[in-house]
Amino acid sequence: MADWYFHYTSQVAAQMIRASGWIWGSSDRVVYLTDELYGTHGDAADFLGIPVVGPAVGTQFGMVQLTKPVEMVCCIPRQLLNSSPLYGPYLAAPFWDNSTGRLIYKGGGREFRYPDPIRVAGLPWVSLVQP
Amino acid sequence: MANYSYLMVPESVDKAITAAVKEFAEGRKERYDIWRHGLPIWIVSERADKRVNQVQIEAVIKPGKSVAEPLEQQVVFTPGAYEDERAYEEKTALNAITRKVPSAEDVHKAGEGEFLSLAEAEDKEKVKDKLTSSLQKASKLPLEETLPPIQYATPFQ
Repeated sequence: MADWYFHYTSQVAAQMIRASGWIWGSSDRVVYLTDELYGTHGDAADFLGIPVVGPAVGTQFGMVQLTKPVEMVCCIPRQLLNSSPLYGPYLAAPFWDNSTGRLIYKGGGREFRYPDPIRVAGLPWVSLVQP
Repeated sequence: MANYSYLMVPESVDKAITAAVKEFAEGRKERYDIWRHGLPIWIVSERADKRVNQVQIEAVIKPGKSVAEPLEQQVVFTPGAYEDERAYEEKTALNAITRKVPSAEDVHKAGEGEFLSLAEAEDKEKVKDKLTSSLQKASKLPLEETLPPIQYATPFQ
């Protein structure tokens, strides 16, 4: 078992996580983690198979899609994950472009799932600089 | 860049798809994912030995074919599949995965017609039917392409 686990996210999401002090996970309450610290946005997105586009927002120019960048990493010590079982590792699935069938990210990174929100106030963050 | 965006779906659609995916998986006792990342994406995986058949369910908004046509709002089902060969070399702590996937053309072809309108996606049974047909297509996708080796050093096997 690793001593540290990592949660990759965008700057905007990181801001909200830091403000609230919690990673709430997705709507089914699973928080996705890995025990690998990737050095670039590209590696993290590729190995973890993270979607490239975000939701669409309405603007005066019509609908505009937000990107779903991977920019920040929250570093979580193992001791904080003791209240529930940590599932995995699974090899992350690839991610396809539904409009063309093209493979966007190949996946294959080590992915864990944690079924509860994680209190992360005061934990270190790493900013990924290189794309 | 993809020519679609994710659509923030009404609660009724979100609930119907989530319930359909859960019921589908529970009935079959296969591994399944409901993978959201804060987006309207559900991924259902079906493990068969080394092979994983998967369906990406995504609520999307796409441009019409011309300026006169309205934006299309759909729940699309994209069949996919992959197979892994994994090797771990202790000396160099290198995790090496050889992943086979179908061609983009085959994935695109398999996904043709596999969508529901937003109104249809409020019906859990329709979502389950579409998921079933998409998974069947996924299971028939030939794994013709081998990706460049996925390699990374890790102390964990």
